[in-house]
Amino acid sequence: MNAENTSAITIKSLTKTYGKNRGIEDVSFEVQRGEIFGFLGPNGAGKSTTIRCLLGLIRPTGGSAEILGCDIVKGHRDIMKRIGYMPSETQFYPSMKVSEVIRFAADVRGVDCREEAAKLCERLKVDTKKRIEELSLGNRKKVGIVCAMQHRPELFIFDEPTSGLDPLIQAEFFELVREYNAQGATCFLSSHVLSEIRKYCGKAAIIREGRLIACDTIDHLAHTGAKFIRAEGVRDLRLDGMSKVVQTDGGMEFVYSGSMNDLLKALSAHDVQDLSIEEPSLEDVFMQYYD
Amino acid sequence: MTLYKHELKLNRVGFLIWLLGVLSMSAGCIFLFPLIDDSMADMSDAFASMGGFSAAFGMDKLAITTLEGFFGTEIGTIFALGGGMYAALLGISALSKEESGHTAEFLHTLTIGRCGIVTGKLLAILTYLCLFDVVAFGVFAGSAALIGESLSMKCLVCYILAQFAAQTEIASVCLALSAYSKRSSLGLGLGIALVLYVLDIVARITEQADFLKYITPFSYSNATDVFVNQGSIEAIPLCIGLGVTVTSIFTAYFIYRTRDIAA
Repeated sequence: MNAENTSAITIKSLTKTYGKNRGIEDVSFEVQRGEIFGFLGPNGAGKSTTIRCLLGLIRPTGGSAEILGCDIVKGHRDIMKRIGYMPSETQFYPSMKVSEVIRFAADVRGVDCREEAAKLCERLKVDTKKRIEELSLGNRKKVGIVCAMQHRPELFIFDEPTSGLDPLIQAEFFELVREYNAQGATCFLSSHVLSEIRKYCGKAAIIREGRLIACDTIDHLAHTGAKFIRAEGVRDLRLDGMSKVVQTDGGMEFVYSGSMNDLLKALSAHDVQDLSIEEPSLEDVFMQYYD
Repeated sequence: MTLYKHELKLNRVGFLIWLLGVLSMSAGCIFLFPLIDDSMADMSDAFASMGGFSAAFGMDKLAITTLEGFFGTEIGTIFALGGGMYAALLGISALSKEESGHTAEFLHTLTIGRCGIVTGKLLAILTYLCLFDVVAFGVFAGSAALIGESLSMKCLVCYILAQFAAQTEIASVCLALSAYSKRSSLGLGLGIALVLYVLDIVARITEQADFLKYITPFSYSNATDVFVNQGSIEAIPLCIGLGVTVTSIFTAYFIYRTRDIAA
């Protein structure tokens, strides 16, 4: 199989600037078909900008990208037929009923999605008789999920899909993602919630200040060689590779990603009363990327 | 086609409000005509000899004591202004309302495409303007018949067609602005309609400003001129207007096809 057949999303040096303001710079990564791929980054890192470039809502100022083998600029309409997208702040026409919005999204695509839509509405507990203006953010997001999933697309793109959803609906949402994924669909979801990326995604890319800083499997991302160090009796230790430094009552705690020999040499100059070296939590590892 | 139907549905209430508002005022004036035509007979000469004011409202060309004169000078003004403002609002909000209402991401990630979005919305605007004018034609002709008067059918048809052309021109200019703007600038739309109307009045009052008739669509669609000229519409301003309409529509497509869409 060539790369075009196995790749759902291919991004090459994608850049978007807003005048002098930064958007994203030289972002490159690939999402394989059949993956559940996480896109992590703090607020304002460039996650939504990347997604909006992929969807043709904004034009990249440099680089290129393909979705399902189609160029994002030239093949926009073909791409839209084959994907389902839910934005982070889902909004629909306030005066329309939920059922009308869902039917409108299906009619525009020219697909009869009634059966799938009814199944999704039942599982996500969507009240189709209400008007959009009567819905909370969470309930609007549920309508967004139905609109994104009802035509059973090959690729899902979700921008912070679970914000505003209660835990039960979050679990149901990921169960649906897993089911569609098991049937061959690819899922690309952006989030800043580490736990959901760790739980549901096989691979992830991390973006910070508009630049991609890591892209790998979750296991590899979590094993960066960094260690969580707790040293009792140590004060004011300064060493390259230290991060998340906390001075405690009895000593210091920090994440260390430098040479272990350098650390031991540095510690030998202090009156170390107790020392523990552990694997850091996933949260600590990701925070290293964010810092 | 789905977007076209969707637009018609979303704009239904606004259409009915403007239709009822403008046409009830216009029809009300027609029904008032038999009650005031006697009293106006005495004032007719005075109305016709007020210099610039008479010229501005066409009272120097048509006798206000006849229904056609009353229609050309009074009702034509109400309808032209109402129709122009409605056309401006339709055009100015058509595309930008998706961004100001935060529905753009939903609409643009369906399978319509940007040109399809402009086409669907443009067709909905033209449909509502067409319906607006067709109903107006029926109301004008019907109201005149009900009070036992008649309006020249040829003149009335030409007037309605000229109004449709003017409304389309205003809506197209506003559509091009809407393609550029991320905010639904209703005030700007109404302002454009009103300024164009004032330009027509200025062009009629002073000869030095006669060139303004080539700028404003209210010049070639003026009721007095259409009725005085027995349905004939001045060709050059009309052709310029049609040119502005076509250019504005192409501009709307061109801008909207490439512009970044706000979240």
